Amino acid sequence: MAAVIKLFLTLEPSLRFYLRSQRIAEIHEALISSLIICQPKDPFAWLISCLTEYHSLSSQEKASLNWDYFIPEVYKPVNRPINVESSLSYVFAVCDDSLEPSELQIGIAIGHYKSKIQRNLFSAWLRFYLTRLGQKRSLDRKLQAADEYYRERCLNNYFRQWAQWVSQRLARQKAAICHIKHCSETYQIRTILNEWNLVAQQARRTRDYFDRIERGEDSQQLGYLGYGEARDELSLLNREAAVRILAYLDVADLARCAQVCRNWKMLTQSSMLWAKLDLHRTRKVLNDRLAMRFIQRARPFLQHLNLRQCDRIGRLTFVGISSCKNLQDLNLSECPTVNDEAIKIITDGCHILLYLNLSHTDITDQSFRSLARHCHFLQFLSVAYARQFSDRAFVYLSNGRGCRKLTHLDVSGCTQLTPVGFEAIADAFRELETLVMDDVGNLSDKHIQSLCKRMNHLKHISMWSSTWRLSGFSFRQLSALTKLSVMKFDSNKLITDEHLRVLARSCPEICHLSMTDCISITDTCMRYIGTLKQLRVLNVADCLLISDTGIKALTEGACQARLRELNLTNCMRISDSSITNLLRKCKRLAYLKLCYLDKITETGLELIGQMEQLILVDLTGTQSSDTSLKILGNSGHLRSVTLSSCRKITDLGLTKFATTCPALEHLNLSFCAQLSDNAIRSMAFCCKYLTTLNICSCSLLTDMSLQYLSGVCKYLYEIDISYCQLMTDKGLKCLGDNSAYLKRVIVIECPNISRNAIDHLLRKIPYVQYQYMDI
Amino acid sequence: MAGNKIKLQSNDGDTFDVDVEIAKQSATIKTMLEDLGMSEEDDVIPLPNVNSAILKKVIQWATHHKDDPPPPEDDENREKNLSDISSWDQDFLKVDQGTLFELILAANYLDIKGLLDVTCKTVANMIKGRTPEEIRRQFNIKNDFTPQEEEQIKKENEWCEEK
Repeated sequence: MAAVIKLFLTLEPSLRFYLRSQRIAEIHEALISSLIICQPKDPFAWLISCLTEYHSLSSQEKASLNWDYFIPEVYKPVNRPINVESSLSYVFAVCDDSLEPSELQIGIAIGHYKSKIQRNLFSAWLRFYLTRLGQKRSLDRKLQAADEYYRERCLNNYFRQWAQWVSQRLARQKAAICHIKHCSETYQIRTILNEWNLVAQQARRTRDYFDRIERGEDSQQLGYLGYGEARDELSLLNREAAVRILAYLDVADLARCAQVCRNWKMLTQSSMLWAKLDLHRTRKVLNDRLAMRFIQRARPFLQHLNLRQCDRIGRLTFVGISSCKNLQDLNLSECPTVNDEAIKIITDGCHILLYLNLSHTDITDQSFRSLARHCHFLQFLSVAYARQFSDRAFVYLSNGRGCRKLTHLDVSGCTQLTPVGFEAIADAFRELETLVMDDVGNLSDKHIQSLCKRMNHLKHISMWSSTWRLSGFSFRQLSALTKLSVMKFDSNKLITDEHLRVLARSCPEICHLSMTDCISITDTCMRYIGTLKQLRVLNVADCLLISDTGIKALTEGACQARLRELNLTNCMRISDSSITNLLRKCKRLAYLKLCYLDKITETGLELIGQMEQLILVDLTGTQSSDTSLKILGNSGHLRSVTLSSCRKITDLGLTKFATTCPALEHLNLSFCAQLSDNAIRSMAFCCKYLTTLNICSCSLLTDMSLQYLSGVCKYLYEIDISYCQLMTDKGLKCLGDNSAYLKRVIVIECPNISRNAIDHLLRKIPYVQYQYMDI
Repeated sequence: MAGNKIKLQSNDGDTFDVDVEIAKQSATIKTMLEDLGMSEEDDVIPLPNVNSAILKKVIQWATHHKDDPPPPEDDENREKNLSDISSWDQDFLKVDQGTLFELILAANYLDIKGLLDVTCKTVANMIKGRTPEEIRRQFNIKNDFTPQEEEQIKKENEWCEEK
């Protein structure tokens, strides 16, 4: 065995490999083991049979050959007959020290290994280096590209800006060139016009000169200057101011002005004057021909045209109006000839009408059709007291496209409208801010309900003489109009404090509240009204239940800061403490009416004199006496004072009062029967600015009073001397002769004034109201 | 603000101390003070188009009207026409025509609407309802129409005499 191993050891590795691959050692062990175990008689035959058997095996079975393969089953030993150790040792001897390579081999191997590692390392390093290089190069390329891109971007931007600048410059140049051209053209035209004007003037002068020579006048006397040289004050004003003055005149006065001189004629032709044409004052002479003349003259400028009460105009005028494309404001109120056809003609031409007044006319539903079709910009429409149209009129408007922008609508006196019509109004005019429906006697809850559904923008609502049939339901509906600022109504018995509470809470913008003769409201509501911060005007005349408690609540509310006008006429329960509160809290009060409050004593009336901002005070039928009158004028601001029916007033009181009130303009002393001429004398002496004076039924006054007045009160505009039994023709004549500004005189029941005297007065004064005892 | 004064200087060199609130009735001065941020203390506002006499009148008018509240709202039958000049204004404007027209110019320059209104109305009242001859006499104007022209223009305006 050892020999075999030895043999193995000495063999060339290739040979050893051959032996092992042919599994010679394993076969050898198996053969030897079987020989040892079986011990056959003929070992060679046994061996041959074993080898033959082996040779017939498949290659897989060959590989799995065990050491006991050739031993028959019955003899198979438990242990190997041959030493396993030795057997293994020769099997593994291949890698044992017997196979130890020589030093040279190791050297070669190491060298080989080294070179291989070196190669690997080198190739790895090379790969790494190349990758790095590649990365660096691509980064460089990217950076370069980015730079390039940035540069181009910048260039692009610069270029764009430059292009813009250039185009702007070009545009400016173009505009400048245009402007220069325009200037030069204007200048040329102006020069030409000036030259032409000069030549024309020269020619005119020459012609005048020849005319005069022909008439045989001496040219030296008249003087050469003065022709075409306007030297009066009006002509020397700047044109704007001169035109502003002329704008206050009507067409007839303008026509007279045009006849004054050349310069005035030129002024009257200013386009500004013809933008507004008021033909109301010439209504008596205005016929179609004349109206057409005005309209043709004003056509390009005409914006406002007033034809109120012009009853002689007809179709021709309406055709003329329709040719005024710039007309914005047209008043055809009380023109009896205005009908559907007229409206059709006018609306066909005037598309930009903003303001149209058709009150007191005979228009029917058809007119509203025309309006809906053509007037898209209409903002103001009045059809007050036009009774010929029906609910359908507003249905047309709500269906059509026109009149969507209406903000002001006046349907006063249109009693023919039913709730259906009102619903159509609410439907057609969503933007409506002002609605006037005075004198709509049949106004009912249903009307208001139809109205309040959609009218969110309504700010101003006026219902004088219309609300007597409304119940609390309507007022609850009205409080849905949250933007309301002005509200006027009267004579409603059903509105209560509760409705006003809701109203005051939901409509905080209210600044003007007039609710006269509402007898159900009490002091409680004044507390709610007092919370209205914007309140400037409050009129609660004839609301009989209001007492001092109410006024106290009012003055303590937020409204005290702005309240300017207050009317408490006939609120009989109010006494002195209210005046104290008003004086303390409402510093801005300027207009105060306290008629027939006879609970207010002298103490209260004296306080009124301390209200610093007060301008108007009405004390009709109060307890005013000389004592309170003395202090009344203390603030010095009073302009208008009514002392009607204050029977306690005597000459002394009026004299004292007049000395403190030099700025007084309106004074009513009617039914102050104790006053005598002396009082009027002192009053006239102090109050020289008096314009309106009422001395009706002051039966002690004589002609002397009128003489004093006409001599001192130069600005007297209106005087009422009715029932002054002692006045005679002499006084009236004096009045008519001396008072230059007097325009209105009322002389009812003056038995000593003759018809002649009144006729004489009528020649000077446009309005005299008179009545003779004998008729 | 109350009690603050500013100085107004007329074109002939006189200066007037005026309450800011009074001066601000002039829209021109108001703009100067508010927009241009002129200090009210020391600066003098020069008014090169107004002389002392007229400026004095203007200040007098503005002082009288400084507390005027707006007209009453709750008043139905208010007339708005030429004759609604208050009698104080009528008395104030009882001046010679030269002064009246200078006041118009000043009111126009200072942009005081109230004063401009009353002065223009006053002049309009002088013209209103008068014949051309009366107007000429009133304003001392010479008729520079030739007889033919006058004839023609009279014919054109015939309508206004037939009342």
